[in-house]
Amino acid sequence: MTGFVIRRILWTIPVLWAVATITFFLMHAVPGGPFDREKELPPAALANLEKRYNLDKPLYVQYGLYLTNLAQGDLGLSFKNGREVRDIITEGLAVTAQLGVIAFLYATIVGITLGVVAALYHNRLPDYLCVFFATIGTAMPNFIIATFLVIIFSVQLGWLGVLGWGGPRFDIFDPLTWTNNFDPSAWDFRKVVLPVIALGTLSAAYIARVTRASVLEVLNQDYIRTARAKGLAEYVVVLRHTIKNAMVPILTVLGPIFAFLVTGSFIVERVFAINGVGYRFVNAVFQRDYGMIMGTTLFFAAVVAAANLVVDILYAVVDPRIRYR
Amino acid sequence: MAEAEALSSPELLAGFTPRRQRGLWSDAFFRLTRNRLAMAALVMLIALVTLAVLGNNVEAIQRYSPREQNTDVLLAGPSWAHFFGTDNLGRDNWSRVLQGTLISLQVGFGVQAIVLVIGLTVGGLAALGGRMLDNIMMRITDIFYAFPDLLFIILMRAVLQNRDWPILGDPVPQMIFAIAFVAWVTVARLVRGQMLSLKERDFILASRAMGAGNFRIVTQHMLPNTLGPVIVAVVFGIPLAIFAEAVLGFIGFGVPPPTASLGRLVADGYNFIRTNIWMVLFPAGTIAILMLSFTFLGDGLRDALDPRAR
Repeated sequence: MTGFVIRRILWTIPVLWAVATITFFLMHAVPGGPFDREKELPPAALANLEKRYNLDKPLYVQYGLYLTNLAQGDLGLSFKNGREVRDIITEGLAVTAQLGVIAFLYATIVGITLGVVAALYHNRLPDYLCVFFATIGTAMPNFIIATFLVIIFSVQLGWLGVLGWGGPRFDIFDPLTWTNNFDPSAWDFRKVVLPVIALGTLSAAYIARVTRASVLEVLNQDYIRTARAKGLAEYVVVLRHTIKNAMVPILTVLGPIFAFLVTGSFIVERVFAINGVGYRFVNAVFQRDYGMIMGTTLFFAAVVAAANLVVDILYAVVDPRIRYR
Repeated sequence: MAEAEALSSPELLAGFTPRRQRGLWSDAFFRLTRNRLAMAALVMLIALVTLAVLGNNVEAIQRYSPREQNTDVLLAGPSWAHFFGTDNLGRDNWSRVLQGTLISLQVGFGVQAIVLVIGLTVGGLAALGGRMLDNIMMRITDIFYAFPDLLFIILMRAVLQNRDWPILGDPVPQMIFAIAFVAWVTVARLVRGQMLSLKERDFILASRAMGAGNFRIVTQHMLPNTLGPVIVAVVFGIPLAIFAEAVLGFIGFGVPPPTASLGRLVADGYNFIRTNIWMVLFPAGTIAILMLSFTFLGDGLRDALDPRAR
């Protein structure tokens, strides 16, 4: 087991290195320099800027510096405002993580509930309703869901907010120290609902599908028949025998879903003008802030890699056959 | 209904006359035609493809040029003059949505065509080319799998823009290439898995025992049997590609203006959501219908091609 975990952890290093390398060379293949402006900069200023960002050195030196800094957790500088990319990401992360965690809770609770209900009422009306939700939820892009929600609830009915994030602002919430200047009154519920639904619905639908299939499979097992045969109350059969065993495949999809909710939020952040990591990333793309783009891509790749790692280890814990492959 | 008819037919009641033989494909097609949702999706898609192709080439259907500005009708709602209303520059939304639909369809089909070629090649090489090649191919797919898809597509778009290369110089092929670059992994893994499991099956052994060579086994037995799941994956991949293109357009990294893509139309409409909701409603609805139709068709194909995997 330990051997498997160690091997699996070590494998993420070459993967991240490959991602870093590909990103680096792609960034340098982008036509046009980061300091191209409408009005050309004076040559001296340009030379100074290039020196500041090490762009005057040969490519392999830049690559070496880049990797050395990365190994120390330094994601480099933003080309637009000269700030540390790490700091910009950390600031945005406070908001993105809130959005992601709430959407994750929404997706898990709604998804598992719908999946279990659908399986228990197999081929009856509740099942069809849940499958319908799951199909629509997986097939509709999140920004389309967001659009329809905004039209109905914000524009037509005027119940919910359109722009901004209703959670505590990042300057009063420190994710690194988890400082408790958390102010519940800063929450604006009206601005939390729509982004969370827009972001989490795809995952909720996916979890519902997985849960339904898993619960259906468990319900067909012999030990469920045994449990029923020995006269257990139905709720004991469902809660203790069925759901507990059906959780295994569900647990393993929760990892990538969490990663998806944190990294995939840039569309939702853009729609609702939420100043998270994704919003900053899109702005960086617009401004051709290559330092910021590289840093964010790597950060997201690391999140994805970590999620895949957790899933693989979870699999190995749950299913011992995998370890001896 | 067809089942009931078949059961009551005199041939079957006589017991000995076997049902007319149908091959794998016509059997699957028959099952697909009985899936009402999938057929409705297919009809919808044929209608959309026809409308998109005609609407960009026949003036009577297009009615206005997608770039023609008419300052007399700004932000108008739907009417007989402008089916889908007009935008903030007085451009006709009907022709713009049609233009965007065509681009979405081109991207959807184009991406999956490339994905099919790369996926079959990489997956096939990995499964049949020995351990060494398998290891190399799978490590490469692992790395591509680790990339956050949309971010990588955005990077590829940035790299490809403003080049005057022969085919990749145009924005639509650029989008297709950038999306296909990350999308092939799923199909490659699927092909490899299918071929590896097929290799061990008895009918391959039987064929080999009867003296079939490698080439014959691969082309006559392995490829046709791999194709079913691959077709399903490819059809499911089309809405994902359309989604990726729409997202790129939405965040302003898609086909450059004044060309209209559905994602950009939604983004533009967003700015006027309080004055004219039609501007965002029609392109958003079109994307939703496109994606739902392809998903339903994919569902139907999956059920038809592999009746066991329900």
